Amino acid sequence: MEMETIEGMNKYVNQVAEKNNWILNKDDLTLNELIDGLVNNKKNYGYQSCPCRLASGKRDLDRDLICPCDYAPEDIKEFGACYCNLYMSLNFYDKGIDYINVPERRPIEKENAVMEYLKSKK
Amino acid sequence: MSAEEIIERLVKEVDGEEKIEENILVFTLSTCMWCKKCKSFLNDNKMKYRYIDLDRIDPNNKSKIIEYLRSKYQSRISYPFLVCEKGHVIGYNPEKYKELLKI
Repeated sequence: MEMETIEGMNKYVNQVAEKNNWILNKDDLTLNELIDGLVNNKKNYGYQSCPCRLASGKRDLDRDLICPCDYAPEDIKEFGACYCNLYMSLNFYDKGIDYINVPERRPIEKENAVMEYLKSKK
Repeated sequence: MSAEEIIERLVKEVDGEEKIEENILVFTLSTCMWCKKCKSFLNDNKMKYRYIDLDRIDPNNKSKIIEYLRSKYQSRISYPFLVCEKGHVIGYNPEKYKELLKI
């Protein structure tokens, strides 16, 4: 799958949603911007890192952020949406809201490791 | 160079009506939909603000700025991270923006 194109990434996120029994954000503008962010990260880093979080650029340190991130299943279960609001639970829109602020679930230790890595780069 | 000096050097300015002297500075990611919504909110309300897309700067400056923000605001940094004279807001939160910026 050509994930460095909008079409390819669109196909990918649709497949992820279908496989996990989730839906995608219904707002076209929001969805397109999220897909655009994923495409840019794929081009810049070589993997589709979460567009709403700061990636280190080192795959080992960003592995948990590769979309769908490791935290998406728990976030969707608890809040009805992933951190970015790209993937939503089937009944998310029954609540009568368009989006939700999902708190960061990523352990702070992982962010600290990224900081150490960034500092080490000259 | 200190983090504050790096910020001053890298920041981009967006003109507004300058009706409120809030000195708004937003730390954003170029890929982040929430950050785009934050900028749109400020644009729609004709606010003058400055921003830095942290994913677009070199790693060393990135780490210096984030460490500075963590230390100054005693907080974990999520994006958009908006700071102004009266406080700061973590994440996209139009209600808090309205409250803080008296919109």
